Amino acid sequence: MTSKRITVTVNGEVIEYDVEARRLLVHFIRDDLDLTGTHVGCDTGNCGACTLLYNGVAAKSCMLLAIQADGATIETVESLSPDGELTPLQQSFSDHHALQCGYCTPGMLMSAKHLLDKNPHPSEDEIRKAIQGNICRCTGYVNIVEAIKAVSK
Amino acid sequence: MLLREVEYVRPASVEEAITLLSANDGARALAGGQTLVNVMKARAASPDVLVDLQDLGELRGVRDLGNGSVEIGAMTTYTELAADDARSILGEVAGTIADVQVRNRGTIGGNVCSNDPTNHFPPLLVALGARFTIRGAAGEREVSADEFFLGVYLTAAGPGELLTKITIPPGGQDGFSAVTIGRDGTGIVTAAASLNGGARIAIGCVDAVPVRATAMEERIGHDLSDENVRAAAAGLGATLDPPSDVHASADYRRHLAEVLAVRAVLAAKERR
Amino acid sequence: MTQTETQTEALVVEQTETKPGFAGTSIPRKEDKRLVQGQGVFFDDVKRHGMGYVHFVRSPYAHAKIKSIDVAAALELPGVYGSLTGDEVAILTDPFFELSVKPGADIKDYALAVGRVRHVGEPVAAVVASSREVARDAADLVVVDYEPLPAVTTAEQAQTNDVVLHDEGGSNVVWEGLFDWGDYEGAIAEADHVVKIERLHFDRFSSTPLECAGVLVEYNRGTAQWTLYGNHQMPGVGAIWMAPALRAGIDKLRFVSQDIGGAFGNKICLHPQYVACCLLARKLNRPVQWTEWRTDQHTANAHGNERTFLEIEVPVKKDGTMLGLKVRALDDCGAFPRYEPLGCIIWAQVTPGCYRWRNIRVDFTQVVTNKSPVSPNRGYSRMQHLWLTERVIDLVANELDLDPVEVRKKNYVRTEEMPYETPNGCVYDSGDYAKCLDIALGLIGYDGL
Repeated sequence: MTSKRITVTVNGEVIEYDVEARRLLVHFIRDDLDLTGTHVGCDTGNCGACTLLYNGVAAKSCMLLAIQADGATIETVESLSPDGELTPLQQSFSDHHALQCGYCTPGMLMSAKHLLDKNPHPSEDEIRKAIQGNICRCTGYVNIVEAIKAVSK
Repeated sequence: MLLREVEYVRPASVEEAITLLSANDGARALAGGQTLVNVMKARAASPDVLVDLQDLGELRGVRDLGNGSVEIGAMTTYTELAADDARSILGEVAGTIADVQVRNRGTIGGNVCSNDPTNHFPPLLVALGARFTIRGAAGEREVSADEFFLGVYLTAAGPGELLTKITIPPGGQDGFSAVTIGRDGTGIVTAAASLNGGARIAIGCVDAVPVRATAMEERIGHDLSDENVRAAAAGLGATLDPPSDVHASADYRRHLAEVLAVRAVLAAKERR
Repeated sequence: MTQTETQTEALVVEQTETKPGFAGTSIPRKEDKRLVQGQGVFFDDVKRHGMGYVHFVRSPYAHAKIKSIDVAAALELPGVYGSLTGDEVAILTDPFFELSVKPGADIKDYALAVGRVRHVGEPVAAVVASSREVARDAADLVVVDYEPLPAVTTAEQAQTNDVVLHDEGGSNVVWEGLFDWGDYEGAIAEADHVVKIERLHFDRFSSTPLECAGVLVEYNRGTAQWTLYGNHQMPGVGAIWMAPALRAGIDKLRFVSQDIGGAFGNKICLHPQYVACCLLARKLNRPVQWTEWRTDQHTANAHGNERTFLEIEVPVKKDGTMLGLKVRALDDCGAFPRYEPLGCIIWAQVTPGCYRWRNIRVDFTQVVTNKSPVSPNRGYSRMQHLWLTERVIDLVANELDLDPVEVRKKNYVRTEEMPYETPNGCVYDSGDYAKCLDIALGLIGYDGL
């Protein structure tokens, strides 16, 4: 089949949608579901701006097809603060000036969340390894590491 | 960045997957997608049908066979390998591939079946003397590591076939050493060694398939002293015909092969 | 401890208590709250009913004649709304004005290649479709017949004018200038030795913001006004380029941007693609959206100036004192100068760098080549020059068999000389360069190397 009706849980909501087999998950999330917090930064799966949680683990949504996600559970950056109350991690990013343009930030937050969910007290090395798949062109990473460190004490 | 039209199927069993793969010349297995989806985005290759292996639980997991051997399902992800203790070198190497997101999805089966010359597992598994179980319409067969890797992007798992598992024989004194593009990046030269009676040494990124450093293995014999290992590596580079590219000249790759082969053997020696 | 350090103790301002005001304090940003929630609005987040997605067909050649473009097959693909080619652009628009003087000013620069392509990745045609994927498919169906031409790939080659990129200009040299400060001949006369460096080369690069360029354009037929939701980092300048080309007043271009994912100069010269999108929005009577792909960003967005430094001469004293600098700079601005020749001049803000040399002569020539057009890119043009000065110091030290650290300190503008006016008229009002160098050397453990 070249398209299929998929059932996918996104940020807690069960959604049914017809998708073309070739549709990348990131375009499904951004264009079809209007969840535009997840971003596209490259063509080759290198930048991590599209990072979300896929069945509980950090994954690059530009390297997944929407059709594969039938039955999957997805969490995007929008799930962190559904009522507008920033989580300690989000607040820490702001407090530590861990974002400038904000384009890599959703991906960074999801990678950081994935780390802290598994390991609430990571070392600096573990933090750096956790965001290795997320490129930032503005901050130079130091403040991002500090921001994550600050909520992992 | 955008795929051509493609058909998609999601079989519930290995048998069904094989039937689907055999039914269409343009059918390809979709494992973790960390290579294939990128290839399709670039439109460098466009399969007609994607056969998604995600529901094939039979292909997942690491099993300690009790006799020292370890069996790894082809769909085991790098993250799952890194969390497993059965044969520590596997997890260690898996943990250096790319980044967390890639490791959460990418599989050992994908790594070996795509057989990009810069992939980590081909030389490692050659050094470990792994055996590869392939299932197709004609049945199942087991192939040695030396026979599995045939050429760039080419393995013994042919059209209509699936690699189902990789079996690692008993051992444990394994080493791996690499020079990569940035930390945890793509290999420029890689080397793997396994000591089990004698030495098995495989060099990656210097040819289409991993190269066994047989002369070095013979010269090492049973003398694993640092001195002898270093002496044994001399001349290895001259036997190789590696490519030159923007990352390294052929000569530098030859030099790296000798340096990393020594490091891999010495690391293997240290592992208990 | 150097002599410089002890003398400057008294001049270093010690930090006491923080004074009221913003300097030195950590101010929370207003935009953080929406950005950390993924509520930023970047242009690709904006959607309009019935919008079409644009894909540019781009040249695979560095230099070629376009013999024909056939969009018929592309237009037949279900979901394709329309197309645009250079022939239409040449009729509907006037060339963008160039900031250069002649011959650069005579270059014809359009929204799509007209008759000829001059760099890999240059947009040749555009297709618009109901989805990103269909637009991409349609682009593959556009047939362009190219006749490859010899490519000019180095500035030195461009200077010979064996192959001229722009017939209107007649020469690949788009700007020349001689910068002459102090008395270079006097410096030569006073020198113990002249260090000669044949060639240094600063490669082109890109600042690669994480968000690529792009725009969503709506056209209002009633008012003939375009609304552009884009990430042009200088929309006022963009409008000045675009409006005359579109034969419209600046008031007919309304730019709306909220969040931009980095720019660093790479989002200044977007007017060609933006004009193509404006024409398409009007032609097809629907909003159109273009999102640049990363590969295109790397190839054909805008690089930082590539500069070759030739016949470098540094008259020096035996003790390492540098008396002057002479260099012939050859700047490669790619296929179209666009924002140039500002880069030919702006490096002059930092002519002597941190150093006290008073006699500097720079013979600067800019040429076009068959490479990506340049635009300001992080450090715009000054970086290339400062790299030159630092390389020169190291090479001078090497030739004189002196410690490059000592050569720097010997030649730095000293704190006690400040405010110090440089030969090119800039005033350095404060600074202790030797101390900064010592701090840096300490941090890297220089003594232990």
